[in-house]
Order: sequence, then structure tokens, then C-alpha cells
Amino acid sequence: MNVTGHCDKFGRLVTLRRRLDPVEDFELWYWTTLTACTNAYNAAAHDAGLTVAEDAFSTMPGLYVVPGPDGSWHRELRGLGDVSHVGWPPLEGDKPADIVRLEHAVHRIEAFRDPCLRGHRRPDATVVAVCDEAFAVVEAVVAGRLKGAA
Amino acid sequence: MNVERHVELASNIRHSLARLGPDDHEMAIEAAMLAGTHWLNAALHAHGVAGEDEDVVHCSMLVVNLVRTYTVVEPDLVGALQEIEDLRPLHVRGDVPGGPAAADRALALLAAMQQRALEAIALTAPTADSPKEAR
Repeated sequence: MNVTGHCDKFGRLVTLRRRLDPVEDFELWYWTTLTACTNAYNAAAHDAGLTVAEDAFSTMPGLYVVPGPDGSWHRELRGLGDVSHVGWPPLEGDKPADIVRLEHAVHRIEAFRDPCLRGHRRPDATVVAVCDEAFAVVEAVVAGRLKGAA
Repeated sequence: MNVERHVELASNIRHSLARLGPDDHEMAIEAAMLAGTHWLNAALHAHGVAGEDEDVVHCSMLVVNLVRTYTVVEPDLVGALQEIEDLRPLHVRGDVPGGPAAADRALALLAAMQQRALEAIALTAPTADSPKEAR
């Protein structure tokens, strides 16, 4: 997807995130946060020239859904464009400092995914505070790198 | 996880869906994927074909022999979750037109999954109270 598309999704997800209650609606609040993070990361990586922005939508690493000439869609093996999750697949090599900062912030949020959404950990104020703090870093990176697009 | 925890998390997600608006089709599809996966897992655990340490995360990431086994036991649940998962590349990770209609379809599939899973849970535990829906 292109940078504008990612930024449009990021903006709408941030708006929804503010509307959800972090504890009462934890599952959707958390997943909205994570999805916003992925869009921020893809937009920033495209902007930095680390990945290719194109009409090819990620599934699992290396496998994308792409349009055919007749308007249909099919799966295709391709080089690195969007990632489905930060770190899946990882971007290798040297990266700008703001993107490294973004990666670290998202990994802090991701640490709660399986324990809270696919396990028995109950989300509490501490979990919410860590996610909020890390997400503030994500928003700051987006604001700094994608001023025109976000 | 056990049946009760899957039911609790799926029910939590269902209640939060009321907060979504017309601009939130991505999260409607994601909610259907998350909650639908819990319903499938709850039913598979209830049938005894998948242990509590063998949760499905995504149908698309299962090995083929498990897809075949689970499809024999719960064909409608597996089919519905696969259809929801197939909406994600185009409308969650992509920006293809038709997102709101895709979200409506995902939520309809989720409603059917919930009904089927609760039936399976009740049928496999006839002498015990059916799990109560959480908030």
C-alpha cells in the first residue's frame, strides 16, 4: 500500500483508539493500537526507502495479494513491501534512528499480545500505561517523518 | 486456553463492537477474526479434538492435516473463519474499495460462528451449565 493509504488508516485508527475504553474494551483497544502501529511502520519504512510502496497487500512474509489485469486478486511471491507485523518479516540492515525507535516502541506493545489476547493475563492500568507510553513514541515518529502525509 | 476463557474474550470483543462506527471497517473485520478464532477454539476444545494448549491462531497458519481434522468436526466454523481471514489482506492491510460491505459480511459470519460454537459447547456438556457469556 502507499504512504497515503497507510496514513489514512493510521489517522482513523487513532480516532477510534481514543473512543475505546482501554480497560473495558481492552481487546479492541489493544488491536486498534497494534494495527495503527503497523500502518505507521509501513508508512515510515516506505518513506525511508527501506520497503516498496505498491498495490500488493501483505499476508505472510513474502506472500502478497496483488491485482490481476481483469480486476481480480491473487496471491503472489514478491520482494519486501508492506509487513504484516513489525518484525514479521524483519527489515535487515541499517535503519534510520527514528525507525529503530518506532520498532522498539511497537515491540513493547506486542509483548502483551499473546498473554492478554490469547492467554490468561488480565489487562490492568500498568499494561495500559506501557502501551500508551510506547504509542506516544509511535505518534511522535509519524509526526516527525510524515508531516505532509499524516 | 480453556473453553470459558475463549468465551469470555469473544464476548468482550462482541460488546466492544458497539463502539465502532461507519469509518471503522478494518477493526470490524479484525474483531470478527479475533472473536471468531475464540469461538472456533472453544468449540474444538469442547469436542475434545484440540487440547487447551493447541489453540488455533489463524486457520491460514494451520498445517493441512489439522485443517482437515477440524473441518470434519466443525466445517461451518472453519469455513467462516477462513472467509473472514481472506478479507484481511484486501480490506485491513489493503485499501481496496468495499471495506464497509466486507465488514458487514465479517460480522454476519461472526454472529453465525457464535451461535454454532455455543451450540457445540452446550451439546458436548449436556449435564453441566453452559458457559455464561461474560460482559
